[in-house]
Amino acid sequence: MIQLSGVPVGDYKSIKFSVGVESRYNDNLSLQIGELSQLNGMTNISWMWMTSYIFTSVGGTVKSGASAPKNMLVETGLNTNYKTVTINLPTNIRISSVKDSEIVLKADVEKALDGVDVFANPIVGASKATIMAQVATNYATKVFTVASAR
Amino acid sequence: MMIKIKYVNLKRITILLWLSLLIVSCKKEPLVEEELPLPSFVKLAVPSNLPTAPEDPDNPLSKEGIELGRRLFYDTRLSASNRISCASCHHQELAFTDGVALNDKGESRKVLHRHSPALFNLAWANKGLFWDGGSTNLESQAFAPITSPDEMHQDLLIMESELKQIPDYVQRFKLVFQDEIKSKYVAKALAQFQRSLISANSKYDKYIRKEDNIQLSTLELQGLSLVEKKCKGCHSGELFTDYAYHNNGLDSMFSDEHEGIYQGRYRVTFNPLDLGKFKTPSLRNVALTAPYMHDGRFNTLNEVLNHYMNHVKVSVSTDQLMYQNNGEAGIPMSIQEKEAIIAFLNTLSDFDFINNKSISNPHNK
Ligand code: HEC
Ligand code: HEC
Repeated sequence: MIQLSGVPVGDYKSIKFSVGVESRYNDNLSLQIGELSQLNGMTNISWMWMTSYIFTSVGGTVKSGASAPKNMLVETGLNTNYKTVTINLPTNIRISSVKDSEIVLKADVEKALDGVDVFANPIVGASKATIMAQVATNYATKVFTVASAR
Repeated sequence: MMIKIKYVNLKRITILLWLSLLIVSCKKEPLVEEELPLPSFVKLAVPSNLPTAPEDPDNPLSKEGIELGRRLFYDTRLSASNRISCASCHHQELAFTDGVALNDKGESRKVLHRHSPALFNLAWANKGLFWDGGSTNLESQAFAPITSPDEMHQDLLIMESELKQIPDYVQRFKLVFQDEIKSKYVAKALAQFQRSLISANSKYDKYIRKEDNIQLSTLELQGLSLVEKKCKGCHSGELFTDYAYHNNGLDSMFSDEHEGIYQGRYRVTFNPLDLGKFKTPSLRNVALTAPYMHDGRFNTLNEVLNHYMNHVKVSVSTDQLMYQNNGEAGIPMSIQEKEAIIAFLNTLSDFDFINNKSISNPHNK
């Protein structure tokens, strides 16, 4: 849960956020703002080789028919995959000092893998640029929806 | 196909919200209790024949920061076994290369896939570091060798706690960064030290700057004009490199093994025209930095020149400047011209740099 305070009073019809780390910080691992760090698995040697944090990471197993399951790890990173998402709210929401407002976002992780054959490509990272771009686009266009806003 | 998701990590989503909303609205200045002394900020002393060096406003150089970086560069506490320092693979007497093609000095003792490059004039290297430019700047680069299992394999928290046990370090970090020891400051201090490694005091430099009445011989001068004609398209300017990426025809097949390490710049840009392109190394100190190329495949300058003459391989990404032989691949040189070029390259060795005590191991005293 992310708590925002000091949001200016007014009627809001959409929310906008980004998935990833903006380039100023993604390009310089020594400028650590907020929770950014090389620690906590936010980046690793494979990504530091490209100077990037890991923007998204989905791990699990994938199985097709009778063949043995494979470990799956689909990650995105790199500045080109920094995506800004704008989602319209079902109804306008009024932010005021009188009450707290709450927006619940739903992330459908399977949609992140839309159009990707994860059985053929169970490990996606910096060296799989095209697939990674597809996954990042999925995050930007179809993963997030508003569950409720009040 | 059945997908079972074990974990999802989207934590990074918060970052922008943080930046755009939180910071604007509730920025609280911490109360300064006592004034800490400030480090003495300095500008790089750039010799007159070099261009001005770009500065990094996020990591302003200070005398004390450079000295702290030097201490860390030579400190084996940066590695897991406390056996390896940066200097284990970057030796001052070899202009900070290591003299071997591929090094197995890392914690895992595995042979690295790339040759250790020389470290000097890095203040100008702002088009990417590593042979393929995968690393964006010195501040970010340092984290790679420190944490890589095949290099120093250090846990950053353990590194911080080991350094914190040394009162001298605690004081130095406090003065330079006004804070306690953190891994990001280790990276920044290392970057400051490495930016201060300027090499431009060779015989050639003294000749160009008209210092000490130094002259080049006829052979060396012939070599200089040949290098200007045949090599400076890439090894350009007074830094003798454009810090850009070129395929100088070493290979025509670029396997995608080891996360694309043989593919050069392509690993970073994914542009097929960047296959097999590597960062142009400087020709400065080149007589000191054998073996040569990203994998150290050539042992002598003579072998390098033989490559340029007779063995340039053709592929889509082979640089246009590699076709100096009436449109055919190769850079033609007579045996006498080769000798002249090598004589000139030897005038680029900076003995003041490799003997400079102020950048040598401070822990040896
Ligand atoms: C085990 C040997 C080893 C150790 C230890 C090591 N390096 Fe390196 N260094 C290398 C190799 C090999 C490369 C080339 C890697 C590549 O291009 O893929 C390199 C590349 C670099 C570069 C890039 C230079 C350029 O022109 O692109 C810098 C800067 C550097 N190292 C600094 C350091 C620092 C600082 C440390 C200590 C924190 C360090 N190295 C420790 C082997 C080592
Ligand atoms: C098309 C650009 C280009 C031209 C022209 C060129 N070089 Fe290079 N040179 C490079 C690149 C790129 C590398 C590194 C290649 C690699 O490691 O894969 C290199 C590497 C070298 C090295 C090895 C340096 C080291 O530290 O490993 C030497 C020596 C060298 N060149 C000398 C010359 C000379 C002498 C000429 C002229 C006869 C010349 N080059 C012309 C681009 C060029």
